[in-house]
Amino acid sequence: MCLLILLRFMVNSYFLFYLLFELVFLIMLFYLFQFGVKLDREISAYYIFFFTLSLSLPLLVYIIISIESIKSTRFFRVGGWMGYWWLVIFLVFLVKVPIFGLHMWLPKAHVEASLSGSILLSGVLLKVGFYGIIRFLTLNKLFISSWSGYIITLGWGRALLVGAICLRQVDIKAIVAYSSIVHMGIAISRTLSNSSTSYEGSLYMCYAHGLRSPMMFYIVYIFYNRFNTRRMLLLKGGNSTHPLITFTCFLVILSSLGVPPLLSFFSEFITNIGVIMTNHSFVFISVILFFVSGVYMIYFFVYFSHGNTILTGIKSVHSPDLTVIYFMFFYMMFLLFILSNFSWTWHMQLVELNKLVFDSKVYNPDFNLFHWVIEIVSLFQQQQRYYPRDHNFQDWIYRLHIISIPRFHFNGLPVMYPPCFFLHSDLYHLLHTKHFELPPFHLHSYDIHLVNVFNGAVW
Amino acid sequence: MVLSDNFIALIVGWDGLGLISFCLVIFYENSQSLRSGILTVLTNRLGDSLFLCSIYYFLSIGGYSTNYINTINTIFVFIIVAGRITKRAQIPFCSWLPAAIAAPTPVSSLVHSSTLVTAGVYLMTRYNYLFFGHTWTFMVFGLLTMIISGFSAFLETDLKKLVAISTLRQLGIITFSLAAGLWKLTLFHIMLHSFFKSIMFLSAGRLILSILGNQDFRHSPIMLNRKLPIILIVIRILCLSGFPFTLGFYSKDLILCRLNRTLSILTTLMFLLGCVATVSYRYRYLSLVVSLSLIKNALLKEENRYLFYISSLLLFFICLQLGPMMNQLIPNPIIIIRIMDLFIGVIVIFASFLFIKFFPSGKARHSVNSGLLFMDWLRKGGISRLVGSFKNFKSERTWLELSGELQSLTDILKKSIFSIELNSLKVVIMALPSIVLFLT
Repeated sequence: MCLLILLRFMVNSYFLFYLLFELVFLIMLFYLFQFGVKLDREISAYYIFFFTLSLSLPLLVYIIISIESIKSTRFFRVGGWMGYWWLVIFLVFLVKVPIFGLHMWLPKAHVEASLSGSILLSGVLLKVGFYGIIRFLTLNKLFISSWSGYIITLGWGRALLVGAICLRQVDIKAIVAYSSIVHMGIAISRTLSNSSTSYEGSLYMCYAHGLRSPMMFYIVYIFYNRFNTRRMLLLKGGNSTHPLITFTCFLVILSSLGVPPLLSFFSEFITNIGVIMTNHSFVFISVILFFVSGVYMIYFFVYFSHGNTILTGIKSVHSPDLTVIYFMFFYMMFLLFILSNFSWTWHMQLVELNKLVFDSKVYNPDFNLFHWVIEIVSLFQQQQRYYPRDHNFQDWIYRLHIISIPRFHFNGLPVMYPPCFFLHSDLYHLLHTKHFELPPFHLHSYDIHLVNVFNGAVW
Repeated sequence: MVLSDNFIALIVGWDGLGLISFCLVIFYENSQSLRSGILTVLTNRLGDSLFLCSIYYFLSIGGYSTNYINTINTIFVFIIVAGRITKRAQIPFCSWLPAAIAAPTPVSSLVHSSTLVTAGVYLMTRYNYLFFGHTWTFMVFGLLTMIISGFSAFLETDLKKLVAISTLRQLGIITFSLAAGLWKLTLFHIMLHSFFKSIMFLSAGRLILSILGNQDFRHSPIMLNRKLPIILIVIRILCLSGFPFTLGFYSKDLILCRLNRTLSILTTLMFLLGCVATVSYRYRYLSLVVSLSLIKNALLKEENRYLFYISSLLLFFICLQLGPMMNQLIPNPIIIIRIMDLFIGVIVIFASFLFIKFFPSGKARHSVNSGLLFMDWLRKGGISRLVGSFKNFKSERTWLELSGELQSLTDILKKSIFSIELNSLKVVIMALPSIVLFLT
């Protein structure tokens, strides 16, 4: 299975991509049938099948169409005008990641799956869907740029709804599953939000989620082993019976809450910077989301940690289990902690390098690697640099289209782009807009040393 | 948090304070402490999210270094003020602070006097210049907190909760003086306030321990060997009232003197009303503590007695003697007391005696004393009601399982192999357009 996933990252053609994509989920089906215990796993397997596998058929149809039209399935050859195919193709991946609306298979699968199955599902398979979105994002940039507002708002709305659903769960494993839906929903909505910063941050967010949610599933598994139940009403008194495991769980939940020195905080922070640069009104929604995700996580933790234990038949804690827990826990937290530092320093160094090259005195995280490409190309073409920095309107437009292709209309029709979408289209953008003057020195410079001091303090 | 000079490092302290206080409040495993712990952590979470919001705003206007901010938008003043007043427990979010006394007493002395509540105050004093045109936003909160907490302190019978509410009232004064522009004095006052608040908590904890956990201070006896807590309480009340040459005198009298000159008549009257409530609750407290009957208590083994003596006597010394030295900390310690100010003080004391004398007793009193007047809505099951409202939230079932089609599908599959293809195709065909619709 891991080999298949690895292959999937190496593959160069859409057809193989599709095949490996579906094979992974078939193996997941096998996992469910093989290692599950209850009879309900049948229904959950049907859910997986009909939600994920059947909805991915349009992708196959599109691949066949592209074979007929341009005689190739290479990643960089397919593209151009897709019509409204992009909606259907996104559906394929949005089911896998799941977003609210197509998520019903995920909690069912998690509840029925064994420990290994749910760890694989949350840690790896959701990111497989995410990878597909990133792959197809390059094709659909044209459409995403015009639809991003809707996508973002729907994404937030969905995440809020799932947060509300989390509050009425009785199964602790289902809560963890729904929380992963919330986080992945946030990650998707920010990937599609037209800002390179939030794109970068959502990758970090996926990584943090891939480390965090297996830990939570493992802790849920431990409690299930000890108490023989996963009901919130029966699981009580974790603090008094298993203090160390509950403490571990608290630390993992800190990561899920987005507490500062961990990666989950920095990912959320970086994504929010990018989203807010496109539109200020998203500040309020992000605040509400941050609050709601905190509410259900605290609800989750408090229910089984506090109170008196109702159950009598508690098994004793085996020492090998504890070693596994602590090994895993410290490893994961270490990773989360270190990567948080790295993510922020990488981000800041990128910004700093951009400041050096672009002579910009302003903290603008939307100068990114992509702009280096533009810079180099413009050097070759003896062009003046592209600096649209009119404060109110032009800057806003610039930020909106920062990684996407702006739509140009020629006689009322959208221009056909050449298949090599990424460089060419932005060169197109470069060539067809006016050149602006360099920005005036008007705001305070950001001092990189502060971040280094902070990292040093943390270390 | 204080040492950091960028917002990223600052939020580590800001967020960590709330979570650590949550862990401390839920130290005892009972429903009371759990409820107050959840209230504390959710209010602080709200504060954290609003704080993050303000950081995003600062980022969008330039950078996240804390030192270079100089402009601010009107809308974001509200956000920032709202974020700060959650942590410092001003009026809409004040219910967590009296609830947080469910923590062990040393912890609550730490939380209430010096760490958590002063985090918000610190940031407000640091960025006081940002709110130059918008001070009314938090002046209102400060005044309301001061008055309401003063009145509810007058009616409170729980010893620890009374101290917490008096902290609230202090924070109201601090906010108010910040809004009036006296940020240096406010900072000074916070520093002094932590001393006499912690001495208060120590002595209150000692008294509670001596009455075996009964926190109703109408029952609190004076033991013959428990004179020290009483003395400490008296000293602390003198400090709070700003008795000359104690610790409270140097900051509080200055604040009061300055306030009366700068404010309008309405705000001054409101402020004096708050003062009346405060003075009356203090004298009630003093009279109750001092004039109680002497009841011999059960023998109590005193562990850590000397630790208590050492710490409390140190604080006692600070409260009595260190005032003049602390006074050197502010650059311009000029005390100009007009006769008018003294006159106002006399009026306040007289009004508070009238207030004590003519305040309704019996049932009316109990009806008013419903826990911080009306600000207790969040504590009395407000959160659980909010969560319970989601129980009717069934949209997930109704429109995502496609009216039970997938459930019926499994039954059909069990019945016959023959109908598999047909029915599944039907379902898929029916499902696709509806899902597309929901997506868009």
